[in-house]
Formats: sequence, structure tokens, C-alpha cells
Amino acid sequence: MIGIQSLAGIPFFADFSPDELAGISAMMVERVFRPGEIIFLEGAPSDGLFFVASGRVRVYKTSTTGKEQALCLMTPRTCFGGCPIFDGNISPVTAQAVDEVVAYLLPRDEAVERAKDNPTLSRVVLRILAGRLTHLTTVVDGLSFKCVTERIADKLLAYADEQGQATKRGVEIHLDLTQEKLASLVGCSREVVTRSLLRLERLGAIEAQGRRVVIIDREKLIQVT
Amino acid sequence: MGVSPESLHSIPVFAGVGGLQLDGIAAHTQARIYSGRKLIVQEGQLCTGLHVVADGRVKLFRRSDDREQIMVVLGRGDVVDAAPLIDGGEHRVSAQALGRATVYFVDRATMLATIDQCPSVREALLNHMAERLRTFAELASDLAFKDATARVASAILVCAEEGSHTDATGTRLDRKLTRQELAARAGTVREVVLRSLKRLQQQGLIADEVGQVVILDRAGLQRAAQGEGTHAPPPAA
Repeated sequence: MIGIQSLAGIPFFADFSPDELAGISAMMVERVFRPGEIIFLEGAPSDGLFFVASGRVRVYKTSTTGKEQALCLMTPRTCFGGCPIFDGNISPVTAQAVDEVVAYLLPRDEAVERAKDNPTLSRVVLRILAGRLTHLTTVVDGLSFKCVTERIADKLLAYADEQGQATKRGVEIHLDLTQEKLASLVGCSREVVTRSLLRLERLGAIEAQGRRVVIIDREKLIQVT
Repeated sequence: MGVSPESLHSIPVFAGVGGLQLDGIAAHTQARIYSGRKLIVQEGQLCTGLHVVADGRVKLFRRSDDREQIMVVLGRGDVVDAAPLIDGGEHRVSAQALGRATVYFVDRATMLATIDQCPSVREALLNHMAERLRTFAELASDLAFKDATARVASAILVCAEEGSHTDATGTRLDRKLTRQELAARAGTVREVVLRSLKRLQQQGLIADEVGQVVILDRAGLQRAAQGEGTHAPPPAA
């Protein structure tokens, strides 16, 4: 049983009264995933809406030749899996646990029935979908308008803001995703990632060593994007 | 210009609304006609209500410097950009009529009240948003995985679905498709479109008759549209 306190901390439920929260938490199921475990696969039927309680989840699409395009990294108090439950029930993306993930699942049937009948819940779900659409427009922007080095600079800045650590030389990022994954995030090959990192290094914007990247000149990196 | 309840009823979002409620929404609905360059909504603009295409076709796009990326082309009954209606923010895309289009506009306060009161409108909007999300995710994956020729092939097929007729030679698009529009749909630049068109012609999949594209081999073009390049899409110039 999921406590209503845990739900109240999730922004999507901010509008709900304690009674409504109790009703929703009674419908939810807690699920735990190991690091690397697939939560659902592209093309498979959807279980419902997942709310992340702890850990991170990669959401990505896979090409027929197995290349990955990451769409987003979900962090605690965000939601994923919202798309297929209202649209054909087939998941358009794959979700994979990065760390150990605890997630609350609002099963598909409950989510669909409730959203139709409950104006508050429907607003929440609509808001989730709206946020996802906004995010996707920026993904499309990056793919359509920016060259690979720009996109990588953009990703590094985002990582630095999310999880960078200040050191003497600059903000240090430990790339917990391999270069392969970074390549999939920006939609290019691993070789191109290596070349782009080298280019940024020559510009004096970063220092790259294995999975460790130090942003030594943030301004320069911003200029590249 | 006002809109009759009957006309509003023919729009899927409002199809399940009846009687007095429909009359109430219709009283707050305007029919607006767009043609030429005037934008229906503009990126960065605050959302003032819901726009639905009543007639004609409307493109949703994003712009960066002199490049344009068409996100989707909408037809009759399609919702223009509901995301900011829901989250209260700005439009993230611009919308413009392709040719001439009639758009129904319902102000934001009326729409929010309607969403609260009508389960059928809630359901329709949920379905719409999920479908749009799928469209954008497909676009992102096409841009990431497919080479420019595949994306151009795919854009031609989509245009054929929007309006075409078949004769002895092949499938002819109903209207002239400019290189500029193809570039914006395929997420590339004009030079690359020219090269891709040439490649598709050499493969015997299409013919280019004074700027009008004719599909000679639809199955072949569909295969070309599925093709994946070995490298990333060409960067913006």
C-alpha cells in the first residue's frame, strides 16, 4: 500500500485532496526494478502510468538495426508510460531502469476509466502529456536544427546542471552513460561523439578523460550550442 | 463569424457533447479564415484558447534562423496545439494555413470549463494528446535514424496521402510540392532534397514533371522510406 504522503510529493498530484489521494493510492501498485532492467519494451502492450519514486529511467526508441535514440531521462517525481494507454495501447518507446528504480504503477484500466470520469485526474494526465509534447519539440529541434557537436555541447551542459560537481578546474561530470549511449542521445555514431568531444577539447571548452568530462570554460561551451 | 452547434458537432473533440452544453460552447466559438502568411498561432505566444481545423490544411512547424521544421500537417477536425491550453504556457509551435483554411476558435476559459464538465471532451483531448505525442516521437526517431533520402521518400508518401490521384503513369500529387516545403517536412535543406529526389528518380521510384512529383512505384518508395542511413542526418547548414 502506497502512503498518500508519497503521492502528495509528486507534482502531478498537487491539486488532489487527501480523499482523492487515498482513492488513487489504493489503485496503485508498487514496482521495483533492478539497474538495467527493461520496464517495458517498444511495441509491447502498456501496463499503465508509472510514477518514479526513486531512481532514474531511460526512455528511448530503437531502430530496426538496433541503434538507440534516447528521448528522455526520467527522475524521481516524474511520470512515464502515459502515451499508449489512450492511444492503441502499444508502447511507442522502451523504458529501462538506470539505477534501482521504485515506481508506482497506476494500471492502465484504472487510469483510463478514472481520467474520463474524474476531471482532476484527467487534468493531471493531460498535463503530463502536454509536458511530454513540449519536451519532444525540443528533441526534434535538436535533431533538426543543430549539428552533432552543438547537440553534444547541449547535452553536456544539461548533465552539468543535473549532476555536475564543482571542482577546482571546473564542473566535473561523470558520464554514467557510455559514449555509445551519448551517441544515441544525440542521434549519431560513437565515432562522431569521440570526434566532437575532441573538438570541444581543442576549443578549450572541456577536458575529457574516459567517462569523466570537466567543463573548464562554460561560456565557450554555451557559445557552441 | 459565429459557428452553429451543428457545425461544432462535426468536430471530433465536441462530437460527444449534446444539447444546451453544445449550444453554450458554440456561442463562444468563432470561425476564422486564414490564407497566406498570417499565423494561426505563433511559437512563444501565450495560449488564448483552442484552435481546431474546420476546413483546409494547416502546418505545425518550428523555426530556427532561416530553417523550418514541419512537425505535422493537420486536416479537418484536427486540434492545432492544445498543450499550452492544458499547462497554461506558451505555444511551442507555430501554425499556418497551407492554402486557405477555416479554423474554429474557442476561448480558454470556455475550454477549461468544458474539460471540467464533459467526459467526452476529456476523453477526446486525452486521445488527441496521446496521438500527437506518438506523431512527434515518430518524427524524432525518423530524424535520428533515417538518412535524408528516406525522410524525403517518407514526406512524399505523406503528401500523397493528403491528396493525390492515380493515372496510367502513377500517383500524382494534387498540388505542387516545393523543394522548400519538402526540406521543411524532411528536416533538411534544399540542396539535400534535390540530391535525394535525383536518387529516387534514378531508382525509378518517382518522376519529376516540371516540379510536380509523380510516384511511379509506391511499394518501392515505401521501402525507401523505411531505409536507414549508416550515418547521422546531415547537420543544419
